[in-house]
Amino acid sequence: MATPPPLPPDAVPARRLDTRIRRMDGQLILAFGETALALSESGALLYEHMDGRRTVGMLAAMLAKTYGLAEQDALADTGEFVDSLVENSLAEVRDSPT
Amino acid sequence: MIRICLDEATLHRTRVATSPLWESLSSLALLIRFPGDVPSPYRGWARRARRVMPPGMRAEFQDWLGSLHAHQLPAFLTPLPETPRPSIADELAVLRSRAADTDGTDPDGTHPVAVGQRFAGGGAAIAQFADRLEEYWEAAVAPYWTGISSALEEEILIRGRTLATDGPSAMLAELGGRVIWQPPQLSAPYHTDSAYSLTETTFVLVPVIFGAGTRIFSAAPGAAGVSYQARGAGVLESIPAESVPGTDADRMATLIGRSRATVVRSLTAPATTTALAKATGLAPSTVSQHLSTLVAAGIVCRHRVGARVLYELDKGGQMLIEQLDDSRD
Repeated sequence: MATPPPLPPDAVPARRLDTRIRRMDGQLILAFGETALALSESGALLYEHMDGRRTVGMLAAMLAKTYGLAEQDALADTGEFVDSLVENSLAEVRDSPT
Repeated sequence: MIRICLDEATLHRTRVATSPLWESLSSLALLIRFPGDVPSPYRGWARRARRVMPPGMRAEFQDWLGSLHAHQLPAFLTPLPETPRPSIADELAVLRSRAADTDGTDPDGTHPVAVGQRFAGGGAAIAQFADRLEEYWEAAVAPYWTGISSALEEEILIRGRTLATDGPSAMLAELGGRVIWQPPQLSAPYHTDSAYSLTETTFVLVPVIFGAGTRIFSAAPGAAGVSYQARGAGVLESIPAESVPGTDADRMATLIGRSRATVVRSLTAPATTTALAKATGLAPSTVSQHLSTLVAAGIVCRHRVGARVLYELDKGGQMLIEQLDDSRD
């Protein structure tokens, strides 16, 4: 099967409101039903800013600036991170309102 | 009617497994049972299956299987699934290995061969049947398998949850489709009046989308299984991805976009974002994005089942398919 196309930069990821969030030993843990996901520092940064208004492009730019990444790499990492959240029913993605 | 008595040990050895082989045989039974128009929701599938089957194949299977709807299939044609989700290749390999072992009589010795004389040829005949069945699978069932297996996956999850939380008796009680569980007896409509008593046996329930074709019961030493109608047969009303025209004729894709149309067509059975991503080959985040838009437009609705969020077509989505897809047949 061909590689799925990347998430477009104007897509808007949003946290699912029914996610349970805990912070343990400084690490952010997300739980939905029987699923639990421990976020890395960069993952936590993205998750905390996924407010349903910022686009994937805006989140990737923030990641690139914080960690000194190339924009394209940051965009790919952000898409991959959002994918993993969606797969675990921890986030959903919307079209850009504009 | 078939009546199967389960002792306590058998009841606690009940498991659920899918079988592409049993699906294929059940779908063939459907084509043979209804030489003309096949009832909904199998009508569109049957029309396409007949179109793509090589000339003479249906008559050949009729010859192989004889009056399939009136008799029980011999156990050598319906090996029990050995794992929860065997592939068709796994199951055909089992069928062929049996062919190598048999001398022309019913190799299991548990059922009379009541399906014509073609299998009197023994192992060679069974091997030839397996080859033809593989061709049939490729032409008629495989194009739909992504959708079918997605629906079966949901079925297994639902049954598995009841089995885990409320036990095997509760699971048998909620199978539906005229399957009645009155402990210790499971009864269901069947071609003949048959009664079995299983003691200390592994009991396999096989959900099939093509359950309207025939009911399969199979027994082997220490194990037995029966098919039942799975939910989600509506998945057959979708157009398989391989046959969707790529250009102007795809009116739904023109209106709502190709990948969004793919998501809508994959939603004939309730599914999670992850299952849809697997079925369509799109990234989960892309599927999620399309679903959000489709929910906002009233084409898709979402509901939560335990820890999972399931999406299914709303009335608007069903109308979209009826108006734009069904007219292409």
